[in-house]
Amino acid sequence: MRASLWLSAVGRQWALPLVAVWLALTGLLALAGASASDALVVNSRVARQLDFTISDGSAFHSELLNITVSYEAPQGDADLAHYRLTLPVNDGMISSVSPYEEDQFQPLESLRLLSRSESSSSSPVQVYEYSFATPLPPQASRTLAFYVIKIGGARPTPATIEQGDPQFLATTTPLHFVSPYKTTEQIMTAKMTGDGHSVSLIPSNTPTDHRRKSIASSTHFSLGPFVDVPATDDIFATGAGTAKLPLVSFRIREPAGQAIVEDLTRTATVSHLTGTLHVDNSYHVLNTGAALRGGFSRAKMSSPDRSHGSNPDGMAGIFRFPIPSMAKNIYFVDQLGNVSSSIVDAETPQLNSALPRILTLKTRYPLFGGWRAEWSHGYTVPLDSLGTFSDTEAASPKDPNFLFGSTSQDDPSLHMLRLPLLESHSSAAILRFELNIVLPEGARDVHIKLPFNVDFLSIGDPTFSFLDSLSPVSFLPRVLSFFGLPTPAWVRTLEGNSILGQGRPTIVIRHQLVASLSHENDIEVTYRLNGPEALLIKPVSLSMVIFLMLAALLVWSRSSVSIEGDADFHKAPWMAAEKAKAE
Amino acid sequence: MSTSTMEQKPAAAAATLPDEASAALQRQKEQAQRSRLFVMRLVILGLIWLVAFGSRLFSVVRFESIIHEFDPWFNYRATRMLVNSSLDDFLNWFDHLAWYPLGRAVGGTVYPGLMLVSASIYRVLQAVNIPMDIRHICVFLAPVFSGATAVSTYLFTRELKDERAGLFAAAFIALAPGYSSRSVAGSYDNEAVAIFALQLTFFLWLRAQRTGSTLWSLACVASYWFMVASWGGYVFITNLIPLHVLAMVLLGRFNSRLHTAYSIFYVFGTLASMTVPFVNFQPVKTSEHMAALGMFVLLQGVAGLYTLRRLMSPAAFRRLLVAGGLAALVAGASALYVLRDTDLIRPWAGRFYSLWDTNYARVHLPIVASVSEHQPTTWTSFFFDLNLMTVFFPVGLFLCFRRFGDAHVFAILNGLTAVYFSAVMVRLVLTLAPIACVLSGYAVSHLLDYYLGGVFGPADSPAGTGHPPAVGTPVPAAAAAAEASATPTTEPTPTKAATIPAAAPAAGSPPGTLGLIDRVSVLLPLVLVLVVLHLHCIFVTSTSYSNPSVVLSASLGDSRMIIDDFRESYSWLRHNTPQDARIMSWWDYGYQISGFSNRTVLVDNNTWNNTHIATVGKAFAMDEANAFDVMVQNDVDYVLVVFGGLLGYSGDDINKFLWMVRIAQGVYPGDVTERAFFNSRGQFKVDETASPTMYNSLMFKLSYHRFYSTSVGKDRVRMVAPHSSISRDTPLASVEEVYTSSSWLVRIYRVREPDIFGRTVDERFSDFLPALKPPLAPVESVLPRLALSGAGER
Repeated sequence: MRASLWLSAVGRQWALPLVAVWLALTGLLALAGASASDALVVNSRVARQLDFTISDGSAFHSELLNITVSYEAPQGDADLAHYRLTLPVNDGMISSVSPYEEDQFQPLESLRLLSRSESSSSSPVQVYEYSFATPLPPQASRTLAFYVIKIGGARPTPATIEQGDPQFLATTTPLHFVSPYKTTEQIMTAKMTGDGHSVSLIPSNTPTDHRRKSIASSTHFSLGPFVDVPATDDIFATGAGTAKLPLVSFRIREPAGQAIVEDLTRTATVSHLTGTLHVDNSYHVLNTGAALRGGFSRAKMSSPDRSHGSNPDGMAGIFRFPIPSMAKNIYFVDQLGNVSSSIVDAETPQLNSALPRILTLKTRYPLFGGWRAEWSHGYTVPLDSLGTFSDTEAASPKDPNFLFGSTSQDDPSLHMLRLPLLESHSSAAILRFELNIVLPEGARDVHIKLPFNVDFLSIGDPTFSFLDSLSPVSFLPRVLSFFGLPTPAWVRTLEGNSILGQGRPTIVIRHQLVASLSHENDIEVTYRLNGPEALLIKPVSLSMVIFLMLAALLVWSRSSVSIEGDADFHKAPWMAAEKAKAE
Repeated sequence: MSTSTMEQKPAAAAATLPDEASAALQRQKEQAQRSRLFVMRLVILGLIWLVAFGSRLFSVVRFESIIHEFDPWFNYRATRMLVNSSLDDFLNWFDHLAWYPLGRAVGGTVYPGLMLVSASIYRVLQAVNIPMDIRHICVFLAPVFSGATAVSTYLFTRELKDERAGLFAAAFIALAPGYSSRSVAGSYDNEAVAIFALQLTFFLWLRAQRTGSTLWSLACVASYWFMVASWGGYVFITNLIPLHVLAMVLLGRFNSRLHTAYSIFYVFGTLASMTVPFVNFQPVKTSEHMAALGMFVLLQGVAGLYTLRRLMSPAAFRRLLVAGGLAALVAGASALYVLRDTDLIRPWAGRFYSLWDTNYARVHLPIVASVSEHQPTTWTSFFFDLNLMTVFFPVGLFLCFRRFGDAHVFAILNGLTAVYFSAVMVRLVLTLAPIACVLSGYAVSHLLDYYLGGVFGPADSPAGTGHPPAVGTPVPAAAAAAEASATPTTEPTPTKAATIPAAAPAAGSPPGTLGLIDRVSVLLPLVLVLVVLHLHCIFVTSTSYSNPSVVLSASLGDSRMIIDDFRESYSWLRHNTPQDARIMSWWDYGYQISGFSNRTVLVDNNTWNNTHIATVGKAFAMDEANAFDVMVQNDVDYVLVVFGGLLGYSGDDINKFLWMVRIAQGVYPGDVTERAFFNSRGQFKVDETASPTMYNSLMFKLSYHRFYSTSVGKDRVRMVAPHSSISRDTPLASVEEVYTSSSWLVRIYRVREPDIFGRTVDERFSDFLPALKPPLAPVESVLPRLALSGAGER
C-alpha cells in the first residue's frame, strides 16, 4: 500500500522528465543502431506494386518491392554484407517475405527478422536483415526484390453496413518506401478490382514535390515518382513517429465477403493396412468484412433483385477446395452432423487424371460480416492411386502434389509421402494453422522436409486408433491402468524395447499467418516401416484374443461349480471303474 | 404339455435295448441332438438380433447418424458430460444452461442408466483403442439393445412354454413397431435400454419364484436395479410383481419359494432402487410404491399364518385368524391414514391420476395434455403398432388361462394391466408391446405345435431314434411350416402318431387324426399371416418411426430434398451469439437448443416448472409492449420461433399456440384469456378474421414478420394467401430479426436493450413503427370481439 503510494507520488512528480530521458535514450540507441555505412547505401530506384486482386474479398494482398541498391562507399572500403528491409505492419500482418536477388529466388535463410532490441525501432514496423548472396562491393549496385504477403490489410470502411449496402474496404500504407536508407526515386502502383475505388493522401497537404498522382486505368493506380526521399529512420529518430509519415489510403468496393480462417487443423493419417491416406480439415471461419448492422432479413434474401437481395455485398459462405482426383468417401460435417449442401464437381474421377476435383462447400447459413462458421471436411485416397517418386512429371499424369512410395529399390522399408501442406480455396488467409501427420504404428526414422520454416515442428504424443497397441505386452499396462493399478517395472522394460505399443507417431506442425499463395506448399515425410509381416501383428493379436475367449468358454463348459449333482462327479474315471468292479 | 424335446427320456428305447454299449451310444446321440438344437437356437437368436438391429437403421441410411427428436438430445448432452468428466461430477452436475435463471440439478433429476451404459461402452472401446465418437454409440445403442430385448423376451417366453415359443416371441419383439418406435437408431431415450431391463426382470422374477433360489432372486434384484436406474416406468414392475404375489396368495399357491423370492426382491430391490439419486426415498414415501410394501408385510403375515396353522388346532387358528385379521386391518388402515395425513407418504402424482381419469390431465395438467403422446390411444394406433399381434395376443391370453401355471398368472396380469395402460396413453403402447409379443409367440407356437404335431415328432424327440427321422434335422418352426406345406409326403404314420400325446398333450385332440388338408389349410394362412405381419412391421418402422424430426425431407419429383433448417438455425445460434446469451422459445425446443447450440434456455422439455413455462407462454401471447416487459424481466436476449407457413410444416408454433395460451392462462388468468384468441365466429384463425388479441400477440408478429411482403409469402399450413387484408408487413419494435432459416422454418430475433430512460416500447420506437391497426373487418363483428379481447389485453 505504502509502496504504491510512493510510486504514484513519484510518478506524478517525475513523469515528464522520465519520459523525456527515455525518448532521448531511444533516439540515441536508434542512432547508434544505424551503422555509419547506412548513409552510403542508397536505394537508387524503388518500385512498389500493391496487388489487391489476389484473394477473394481482399483477405490478403501482396506487395512486390523492386529495389536497386547502390553502395556508394569509396573503393577499398569493406563490402556490404547486409541490407535492412523495413516493413510497416499497419497495412496488414506480414504472412511471408520471399527474397530475390538479380531475379533469382534466394533461400529463406538469407532473410532474418530482427528482434525489437536489434532493430531499435519503436514504430509499428518489422525490420529484416537481408544477407546478400555475395557481398556487395563499393561503387556497385544490385537489384533486389521482396515479395511480401500481408493478411488483413484491407479493413471495412465503414465498419458496419446494412444488408444490401455496398461494402468498401480500405488500406492505408506509407506513401513513401520506408527504409533506413535514402531513396533516390520511387514509384508506386496499386492494382485493384471492382468499381468505386478512390485514393486519398493523409495528410491531404502532403508536399506537392513528393506527390504526383496519376490514374492509369480504372483498376490500376500509379503514384510517383517521388524523388530523394530521406531515410525514414531519421524521422523515427526525431521522435516524430509514423503519424508524421505521409500516408496513402486506397478505398475499394469489394462485393465479396472477407472470410478469414481463424483456425485450420489438418490431419493426414497414413494406413498401410488399408492402403489409404485419410485427410481431414477442420475449419473455423470468420467474415472480417463489414459487420451486418440492423439485423438480417430473409425477406431481402428472398427478393429477386440479386445485388441487394440474394447476393448482397460482403456475404461469404461458398468455399472451393481442390481435392485429389481419386478421393473417395468425401464428407462435409460440423458439430451438429452432416451439412447437406456440398457438391463435388460432376466429372467422374479419371484414374490417371492429374487435375484435382473441386469440392464446393456451402456453409449452413450465409456468412455476413462478423459471422462465424465451423466445419470439417475430408476424404480418403487409396495410396496405390497416388503417383510414385520415380514417376517423372511428364510421364505420369498423376497429381504431383500427392506422391507415395518406397524411395529406393534396395530398401523397401523406407517410405516417402508427399502431400500439400495446405489445400485450400485460392484465397485463404489462415491465422492459426496446424497440420498433424499420423504415420503407421511402428514407423521410425522419421524425416520431414518442409517448404518453409514453420513456427513449431515436433513429433508429438502418439495417436492411438483402431486397436493399436493391442500386442499383449503393450496392452497390459492399459488394462492395469483401467483398474487403477500401476504398471510393473518389467512390463515397462519390455514395452520400451518393443517397437509396437508406441501408438502411431504423429508429426505436429504449427504456423501462424498463412496465406495460401504465399508458401511453397508440399511437405515430404520419410519414414521406415518394416515389411508386410508387421502388418500382420494386429490381425494375429485379434484372432489370438478370440481364440483365448473360445478356449476359456471350452474350459467353462466342461467345468461345474455346482455343489449339487452327480455324487461321483469329483471322482476320477478309474475310481468309477473300481467301484463298478467292486459291485 | 409339450415339454422341451431334449428333456424326454428315451424310456422305451432303453427298455428294448438293454445292452450297455447301445445305451452309451444312445446317450451320445442324445447329447449330439441337444447340442445341435442348442447351436441352432443360438444361430436363430443371433439372426433375430441382426434383424432387430438392421431394421432399425432406416434413418441412418436415409439421413445420417444423428440423435432424433427432443428428449434424446438431453440424454446425449448428459452422456457427453459424463464421458468428459467423472461419475461424481455427473451426479453433482448443475446445469446452468437450462431453466434460466433457476438452473437444473441434473444429477438428482435424471435416470442415469442410459448414460452409464453408453459411457461404459465408450470407456471400454477407448481402452482397446477404438476411438468411436460418443455420438455414434448413442445413436446405435437402441438398435443394439433391441437385440438384447429379443433375447430377454425369449427367456421370458420360455418360462411360459418352451424354446419354440421363445423364439417366436423374440422374432416378434425384434420387429414390433410398438417397440421399434422407441428404439430406432438415433432415438436415444430411456426406453431404449429399459424395455430390455423390463423383460429381463420379468424373466428373472419368474425364474426366482419358480426355483425359490436366492441367486435368481438376487439376479432379479440386479436387473430391477438397472431398470430403476434407467426409466421411470420401473413403477410398473414395482406394482406388477406384488400383484402377481397377491394373485398367487389368493389362488392358494403360497409357498416358501414365492416367499423367499419376493422377500429378497422387495428388501434388496427397494434398497438398491434407493441408491438412484432421482428415486431417493420415494420407495418408502410415495403412494406408488406402497403396494409393494403392503404386499411384503402381507406376505410375511401369510407366511406366519401358514406356520401357525401347522402348529395350532384348527379351532384356535380360526379364532386367531378372525381376531388377528381384524386387528391387522384396523392397524394397517389407521397407519396408512396417519402416514398420509402427516405427509410422510406423498399422495399420488398428477400424472398417476391421469392414468385412471383420462380427462384429468386436460383439466388439471394442460402441460401434460399438450403432448401428443399423452393422448388416449385410438384403435387404429393399436393395430398400427401391433398389427396381427392384436389378434394373437388374446389367443395367448386364453392359452394362459388354460394352462394357468404360476408364470401364466403373471403373464395374464402383465397383459391385462398393459392393455389398460396402453389404452390410456399412446406412449404406453410401449409397455404393451413386449407382453403382446410374448403371448403372440405363445399362441403361434401353440398353433404350430398342434398342426405340425407329429410331422417332426420323431426328429424332435430322442425317443424316436428307433425310427429314422422323416425329414431330417429339425428346422426353425416358421421355415418348418413352409417346408411342411411343401412336402406333403410327411404324413404321419401310426407309429409316429403314438408319440404325439407325449409331445403335445395340450393340443387336446390327437393330431394323428389331422389330415393333410387340415394341416395345410391352417398352416398356409398362418405362414401368410406371419409374412404380412413381418412386412407391416418393416413398413411401419421404415416410414413412420425412422424420421429424425430435426432433419426433414421432401421429395421433388424424383429427387429428394433435405430440409435442414433446424440445424441451420441452431448452428447460427451456436456460432453467432454471445456465449451467455439466453434464448426464449417454447419448451419443445429447449433440449435441442442446449444440445445443438450450447446456449442457455428459459424452459426445456423437462417440464418440471409449470409457472416458468406459463411465463414464456404469456410472453408469446401478450402484445408486444407487455411481452417486452416480460422478456426484459427474464433477461431474454434472443427469441426463437418455429414457423412452418412457407414449407407447410404443420407442427409449428402457431399451431401449438393455443396450448401456450391455455398453460399461460392457468397461471396468469388476469393476463391471458383463451377466448380472446378466437375470432367472432369462435374460430382460431390467423387470416383477416383473426381477433385483435391474436394478431397483436408476439407469437403472431414473430411468425409473420415480413413474411407476406415477400414473393413467397403464403401460409401453406393455414392456407392464408397474401391478398387477404392482413397480408402486410407486421412491423416489430421491441425485437429485431437476426436470422431466419432458408425455408423460414426457424426465426430468431434479438430483444432490444431495455430503455435507460424508462420509456415504453411504443414511445421509443414510434418513429419507425407504424401503429398497428386492426385489419378491415365487418363493423358488426368488431364490438363483441373487443369485449372478448378486453380481458386478454388488460
